[in-house]
Amino acid sequence: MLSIRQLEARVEEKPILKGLNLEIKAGEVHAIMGPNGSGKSTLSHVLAGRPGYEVTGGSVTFDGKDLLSLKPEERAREGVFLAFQYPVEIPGVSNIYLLKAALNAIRRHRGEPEVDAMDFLQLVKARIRSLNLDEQFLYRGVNEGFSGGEKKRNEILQMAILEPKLCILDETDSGLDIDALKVVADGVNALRSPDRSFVMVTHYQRLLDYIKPDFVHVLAQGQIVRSGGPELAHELEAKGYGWLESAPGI
Amino acid sequence: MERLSTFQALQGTLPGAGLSWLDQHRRESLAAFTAHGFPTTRDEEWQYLPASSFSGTQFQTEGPGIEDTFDQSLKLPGCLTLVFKDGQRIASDQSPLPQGLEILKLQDALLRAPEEIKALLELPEPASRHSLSQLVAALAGEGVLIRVAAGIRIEQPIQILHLNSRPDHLSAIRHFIRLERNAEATVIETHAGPNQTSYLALSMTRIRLEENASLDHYKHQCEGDQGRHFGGIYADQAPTSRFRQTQAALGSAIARTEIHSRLERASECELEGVFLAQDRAQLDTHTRLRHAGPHATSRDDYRGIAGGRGRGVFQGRIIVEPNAQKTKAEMQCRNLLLSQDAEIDAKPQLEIHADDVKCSHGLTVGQLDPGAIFYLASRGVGEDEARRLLTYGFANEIVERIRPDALRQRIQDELSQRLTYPVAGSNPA
Repeated sequence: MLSIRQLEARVEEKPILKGLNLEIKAGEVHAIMGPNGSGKSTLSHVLAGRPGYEVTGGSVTFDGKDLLSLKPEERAREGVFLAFQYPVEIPGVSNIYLLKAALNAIRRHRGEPEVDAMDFLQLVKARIRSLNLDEQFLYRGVNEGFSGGEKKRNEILQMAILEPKLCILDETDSGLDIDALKVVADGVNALRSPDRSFVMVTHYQRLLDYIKPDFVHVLAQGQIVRSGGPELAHELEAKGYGWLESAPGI
Repeated sequence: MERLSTFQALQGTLPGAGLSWLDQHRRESLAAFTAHGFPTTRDEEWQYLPASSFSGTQFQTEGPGIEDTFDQSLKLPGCLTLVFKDGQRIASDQSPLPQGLEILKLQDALLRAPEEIKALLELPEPASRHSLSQLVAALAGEGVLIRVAAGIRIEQPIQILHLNSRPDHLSAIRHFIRLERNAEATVIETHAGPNQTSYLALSMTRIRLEENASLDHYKHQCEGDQGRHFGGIYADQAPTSRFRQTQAALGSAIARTEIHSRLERASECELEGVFLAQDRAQLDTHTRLRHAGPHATSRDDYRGIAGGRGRGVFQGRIIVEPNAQKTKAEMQCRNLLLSQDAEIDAKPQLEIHADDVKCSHGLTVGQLDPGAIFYLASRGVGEDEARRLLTYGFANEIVERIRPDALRQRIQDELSQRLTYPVAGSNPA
C-alpha cells in the first residue's frame, strides 16, 4: 500500500529525513518510535504534504501512485489521513459542517454523489456515540475550546467518517490521560480492517499497550535504524533511546 | 447649489412642516449642508472614506408613485415588519400590535406627539454633524416612532425593511425608538436594493433607552452593488439600561455606518459587527461610545474582511468623561485581508478623562492561516473551498451570536452565497 524509498526531506534548509525506507502492506499497523528531533513528525507531515516540508530525494508510492506529486487535498481524497498532534482550531465553522465538506470532497473525487443529509446525520451520530462524545459537539466550532482529549477524539471521529486507507497518527497519545487514551485507542481499534493501514508515530510505548502494532520501527537521525515486532517497543521502554544512537553504523 | 431651491421647496411639503422648531432644524441642516458641502479627507472623521464619494450622480428625491410590491423574501419570518420602499412607507402587518407597543408613522408622531420627537432630537448625544447627517435632517419626512411602554417586554422582533428600487433615487429616513423604564424589545433594520442600480439611501435612527430598558438592535446592510448607503444609529442610555447592537455590512458600493451611544451610570453597551468588502466596495464603520456616568460597561467586537479591491474602514472611539469612574471598556477589531489589492484601515481612539477605569483595545490585520488551510486540505478540502470556509468562519463568529433565528440564518446564507469562488477576488491567473 505504501512504499517509502530513500526519502530525504528538509525543513527550513535543515535536512531532517536522510534516506528513510519503509514498506507498509494493507491491514498492517506500524509504530514509528524515536527520540525527539529524530524526524517522526516530519515524516507524518511529508506524507500528508504540508507546505514547508521540502522533499529533496527518494520516492513515496501509495497504491501505485506517486504520492509526492499530489497536493495535500488530493492525497486526502486518495485515502491518506493525518491525525494531527495539534489539531487546528477553526472558530465559526461547525464540526459537522467540516465533516460534511470533507466527506463530500472525497465522494466527488470518487465520482460518488454528495451524501444525503439524513444518512449523513445518522452516520455521524452513530460515530460520536462510540467515541463518548456529546451530540452538541457536532455544532461547536472545529476544535474551538476543546480539551486536549476532545481534540484527539475529534481527529478519530473525522477518521471514522472519512474512512481513509492509510491513517497516520502523529503523537496521538500526547496530552491524554489514561481514560482519554483508552477511548481514542478503542476508536482506532474499531477502524482496523484488512484493507486499512496505520502508521503511529509516538515517543512513548504507552499507546502501544492499547493499539497493538504489527511492526515497530525506530527512527533516529532521519533513518529507520531498527525494525522489529511489538517486543522492540518494550525494549525501548526499558533501555531508552540512548543505546541506539551510540550503536555502531549510525 | 442648483438643487438648493428644489430641496427648499421639498422641505415645505415634509410631514411636520409648520412646526417652527422642526422648520428651523431642517432649514439649519440644509444651510449647513449647502455651506460646507460633502466633507473631505482633511476631516479626521472622514480621512479614510471621503464622503464626496457619496456625491456625483444628480440624485432625485421625487418620482412617480411607489408601487406597493416588494421582494417578500426579505421579510423575516416571525417578525413584525414595516416596509419602506424608496423612502416611503408602503405596507405593514395588519395584525394588532402587542399591548404596550406603539408604532407611529413619523408624520403621525409629529401631529400627535411633536414634543416627544423634539425631545428625542435634543438628547445629549448628538448625531454626527456632517453633510450626510445634515442631509437626512434636512430632507427626512418618513420614518417611524417605536415606543414600548414601561415594563413591557416585546418578544416579537420588529423589522424595519428599507428597500431601494429606483435608479438615481435619494431617500432619507428618520426613525425614533424609545423604550420606557424596564421595557425590552428587538429591532432589526434591513437595508436592501437591486444590483446595477445607483441610488443613495440615507437613514438615521435615534434611540432612547430609559432606566433599565433593554434593546437588541440589528442592522443588516445588503444594498445593491451600486448602491450608496449612510446609516446612523445614535443611542442615549439612561442608568442600568442595556443596548446591544450587531451589524452585518455585506452589500453596497460605498457605505458608512455610524453607531454612537452615550452611557449613563451602570449601563451596558455591546457593539458587534462584521463587514465584507468585495470587488470595489468601500465599507466604513464608525463607532463612538461616550461613558458619561460611572460603572458603565462597553464592548466593541468587530470583524472586517476585504477582498478583491475592496476597502474597509473601522474607526472606534471611546470617550470616558471625568465623572465616569469604574468604566470598563473593551474594543476589539480583527481584520482579514484576502487579496493584495484589498485594504483595511482600522483606528481605535481612546479619550480617557477619568483615572479609575479599565479600557483596552486590540486590533489586528492578518491573512488566512496557512496552518488552517493545510488542516482542511488534509481532510480533502481544496484550497479555494478551504479559504471560503475559513473566511466564512471568521465572519460567522460574530454572526452566529445573532439571536433571532430567521435573521441569523438569512445572514449566514447570504455570507455563504457572497463567498463563492474565488473567495473575494483572488483571481486564478
